Amino acid sequence: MENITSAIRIIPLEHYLFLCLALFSIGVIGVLFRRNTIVILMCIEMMLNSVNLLLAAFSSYRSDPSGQVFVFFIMVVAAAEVAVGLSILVMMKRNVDSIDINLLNKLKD
Amino acid sequence: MNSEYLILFFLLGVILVGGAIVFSMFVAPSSKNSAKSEPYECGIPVKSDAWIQFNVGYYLFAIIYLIFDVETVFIFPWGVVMRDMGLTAFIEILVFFFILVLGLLYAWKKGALRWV
Amino acid sequence: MFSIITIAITGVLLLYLGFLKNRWIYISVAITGLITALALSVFSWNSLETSFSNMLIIDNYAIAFNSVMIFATILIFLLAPHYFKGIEKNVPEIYALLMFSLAGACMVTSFDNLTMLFIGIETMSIPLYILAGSKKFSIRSNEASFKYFIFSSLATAIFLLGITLVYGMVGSFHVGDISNYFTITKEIPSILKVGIVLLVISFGFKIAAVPFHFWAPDVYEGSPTLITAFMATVVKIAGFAAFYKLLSTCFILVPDSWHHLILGLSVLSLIIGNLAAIKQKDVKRMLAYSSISHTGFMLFAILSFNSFSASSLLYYSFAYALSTIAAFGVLMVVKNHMSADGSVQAFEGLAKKNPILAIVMTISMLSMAGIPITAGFFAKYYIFVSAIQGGWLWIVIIGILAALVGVAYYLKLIIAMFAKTSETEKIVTSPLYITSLLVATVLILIAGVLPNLIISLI
Repeated sequence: MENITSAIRIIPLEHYLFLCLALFSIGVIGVLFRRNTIVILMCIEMMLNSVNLLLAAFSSYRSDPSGQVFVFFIMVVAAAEVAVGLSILVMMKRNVDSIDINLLNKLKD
Repeated sequence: MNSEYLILFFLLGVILVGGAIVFSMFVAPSSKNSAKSEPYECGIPVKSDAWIQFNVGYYLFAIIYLIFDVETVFIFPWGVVMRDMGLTAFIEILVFFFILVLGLLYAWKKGALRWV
Repeated sequence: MFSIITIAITGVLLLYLGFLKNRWIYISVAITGLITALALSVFSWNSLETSFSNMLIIDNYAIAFNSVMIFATILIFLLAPHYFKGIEKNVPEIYALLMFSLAGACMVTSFDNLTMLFIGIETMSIPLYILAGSKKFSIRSNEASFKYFIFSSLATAIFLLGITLVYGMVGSFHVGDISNYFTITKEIPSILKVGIVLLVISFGFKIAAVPFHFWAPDVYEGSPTLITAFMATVVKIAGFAAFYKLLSTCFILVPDSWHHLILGLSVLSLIIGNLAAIKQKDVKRMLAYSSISHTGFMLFAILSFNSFSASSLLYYSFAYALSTIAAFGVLMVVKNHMSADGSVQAFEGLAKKNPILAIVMTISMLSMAGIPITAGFFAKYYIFVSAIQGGWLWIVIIGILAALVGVAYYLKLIIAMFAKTSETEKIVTSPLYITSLLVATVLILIAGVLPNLIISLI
């Protein structure tokens, strides 16, 4: 544990922050602009995982384990979310035989 | 150690295997036709491309596996504190497992584990 | 705490009772479980209880909101047997998912640690993704489900980033530690401010405040109407209770970093929600936009933190939940009767076809518009008083103008109901259904005449 903590601390905290914010932004942009729904799901996962990375970094810099416990919760919830998301995708695929998001335009003003 | 033996072993291997291949090239009769390039030379004809889509039946197993696989992540932090907390920790993890088993039982009763 | 556990156990029980294939067993078990949970929640009044090593704190604030949400769910469950008549497949699963969602909603109101807030929000929303798509073969339902999933996940990710930034600067997820940090520290790092802004934005998504509302009308329209009623009441109230609690316990000492945002959300929700509602032809969509404009009113309570704002938020939630459930209840019957036509024209002549439904709908619309002797009037009155006490007079003026605009589209529906039509085929409903609607209506009137019953609670 001590080794991992000190290994994480070799890299300055700002670098973790920038990396995670970059990953998060890529995820947001992907969700908003990609048309393939599978890619959208992956982008959501990427956002959650960038938060996980940042939490682990903060946690070891503060020597406070609660941040890492939070990571566990995020992982489990993300798995549940992806399971539901994939099921929705399969349901959609069976009805419209496509996973392109542009087909989702039945609900409009 | 005796690295000479290792070198000798490699040399022997190369000579024997290479010699056998070269020898068979001269001796064996050869015939070239299109059936030779099939994946299964014994005669089963190939139906389609190798990149086929899997049956959707697999997806339900995958999702159930995904959930139960990730739930076990909670056992790691439990393992760290188990010794300090004693019996309470044991009872709590039993409750956790009980809830997980309830979920699995439901999936089983619902027929999600049946092979289609 | 025991009321939350009761709700969760009832949910699991319902999943297994589904194998019995008897729809009266599971509806009665569900309602028994909910009434038990309501009783457990009410009887723990005034007993401050912290559980799960300070993860949850069940104070009077949490109990009051939990009771309102459990009560709203009971009303929705009373509507359910009639709604699901003829649909035998997967009904117990839908009930169970509603239960799990409610358990999450009750966790959200009583968090004492941001971990619990996150888990509560997710427990509340993940069942809802499935519920929104529970009409499996309707493409509109699929679309609603997928849109809700995408935007809710996006909001969750933003929320998590906000929590992480706050954690990185404060060093704890505990509510008490975070508020202590602000009493000690005078110079707040800018990363922390970014974190607070991200938290506000993610809650803006969850409670559907303009400009983060764009998913709401589509999702409300595409989902099955019963689920829409649940989303528009329980989920929204839980979101508001959590939002209020988060800002009032953690970030009350740094209002500069979020006050302007709330102001913007509130004003935009009032203006855009009401203006968009006027031009809607579909009643469900109109109710969705009207729910957005109610968000604007409810944000007043967060804008003006004082001793009065929590109780005015509670009263508004109660009034709003009752009138929304009544409105959606009538809409479900009418839409079913008119072969899935939910436009304003479908309501024409309702007073002839079924006078009770017409009266219920009229009172519910009057309450939403804020006409006296209904609960909606005092709801708006208290929330305006709370805002004036906080020194936000000009916001109240915008609110009153928005309420006047609102009267226009609510009246449009009432006029349609009492209009004459050639077709006078009676609409029949089940006694349980009418009971639920009448209970909601009578409570709207009681709360409108005797507002002190609720306003003096917390």
